[in-house]
Amino acid sequence: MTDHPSFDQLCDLNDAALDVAAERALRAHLAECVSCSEELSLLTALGTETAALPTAIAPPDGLWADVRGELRPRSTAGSIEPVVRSFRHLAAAGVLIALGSSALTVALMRRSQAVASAPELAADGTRAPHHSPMPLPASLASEESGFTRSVDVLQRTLDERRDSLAPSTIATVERSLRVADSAIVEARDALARDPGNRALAKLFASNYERKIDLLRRATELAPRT
Amino acid sequence: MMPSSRSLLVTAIVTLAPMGSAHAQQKVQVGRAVTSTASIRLFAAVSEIQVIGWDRDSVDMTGSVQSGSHVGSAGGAAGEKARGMKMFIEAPNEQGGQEGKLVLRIPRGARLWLKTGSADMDITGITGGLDLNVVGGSITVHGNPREVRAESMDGNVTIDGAPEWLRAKTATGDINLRGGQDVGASTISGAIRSTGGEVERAKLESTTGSISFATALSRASSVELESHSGPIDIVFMGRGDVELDAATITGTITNWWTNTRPTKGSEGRGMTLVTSSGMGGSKIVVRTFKGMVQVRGK
Repeated sequence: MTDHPSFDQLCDLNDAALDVAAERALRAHLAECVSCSEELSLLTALGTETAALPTAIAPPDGLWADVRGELRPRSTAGSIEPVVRSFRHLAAAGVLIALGSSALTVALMRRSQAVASAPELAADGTRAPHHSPMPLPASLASEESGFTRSVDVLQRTLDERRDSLAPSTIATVERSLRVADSAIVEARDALARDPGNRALAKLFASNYERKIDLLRRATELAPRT
Repeated sequence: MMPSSRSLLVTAIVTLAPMGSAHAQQKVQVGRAVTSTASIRLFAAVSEIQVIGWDRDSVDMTGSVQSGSHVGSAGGAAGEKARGMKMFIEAPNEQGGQEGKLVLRIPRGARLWLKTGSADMDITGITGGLDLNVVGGSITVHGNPREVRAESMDGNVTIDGAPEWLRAKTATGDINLRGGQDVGASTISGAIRSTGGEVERAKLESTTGSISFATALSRASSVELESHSGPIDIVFMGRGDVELDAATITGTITNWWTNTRPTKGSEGRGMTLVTSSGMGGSKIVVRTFKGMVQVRGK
């Protein structure tokens, strides 16, 4: 490498985002170029400084005492009895919701098995079909195993980073993944019945590609976002 | 041998006293001479960022962020215009990342990499490149940058211009476009609307979100519209040379554009429609699993 690397290339080197060949060429240049080495050193220092920032900031001294002071008048003003009663009501409501949800799930699963066509996809994708996947022809199965390998790797990365992301972000990602999964299952079932349908095969692959892209983007989100 | 003074410059960051608002804030002011095509990188945990392309070879970032935020910046060599600049603003806590506003002025031809959490981004007057990434905020780009990559999870992406190269992606946010040379838009459940302008090559795809395409086609253009269950609505802006090839697996197709009637699939499910206008120099391919396709003339 004779020209000086761009600022982006130095950033990519610092972020370990270059491929092996590019990194080797860049390091060879850095070994001979003082100015670029200095520039990289400063970028590295900046990264170190950022990484050293605290991930959580403790509240100021005395904050909890202030909060407790604000809460005390309310808790002493009311009796504890209504709180206990409302917990019982909530628990009863929870049991009813759980039973209702289970009954609905059983009914929907029976319906989905009874209908020959692909199961319906809810608008929010919260109801992923639960049934054994139909086998695909070898060529499509091979393509799918490639997709699932990518999904598995990215999903593991996302799981490792889960605690560093905001709960609302995780919720959005998981909701979208459920939508993507439902579409994959639906397209897959149709493809298993009609393996020669090229348009369907392309739609099936596209569903996987969008899911993989979503996972990739989720794994690249900055901490605390 | 490069001059020894060529050391990396940490640019001046002015952190003034708290501004006296309900949540204490600190002012931010970062300035630096850069080349007209410099690469600018900014990670900022704030609620609003306005980026303005200007005709000066310098970067100027002003605004206010929550008190205690960590502001850092580096780039280029002392005494000369920097080829690149990297800045970050780290909030002291999660709440701080949802406060604060910044105005960033950069050379029009610069390449900007901007990443944030929940900020709404508004970008005007850039003719260089934009790489924008946000989780919960919105992205709005005015003007005609050379290339745009805009990614959001929840927030909407609006590109109110015609970039040469555009890739917009969301999970649930909507994507609004107005043409371009090489356009790609992808979402899981957001809506994609391409309205006005002119397009040369485009691929718009969604899983459950709707796709609406009402953009003029340039000569010999190629457009692909694809969804799993989202409805697809196409409005032809004139009777140019266009061929339409649409197919669904279980969805319906309604054609109000030409006299050709869609045909049903062999097992009575799904429909196909192949029709054209003029000599058919441009091509639109539509594929959906079970979305409803509607084709109309303006």
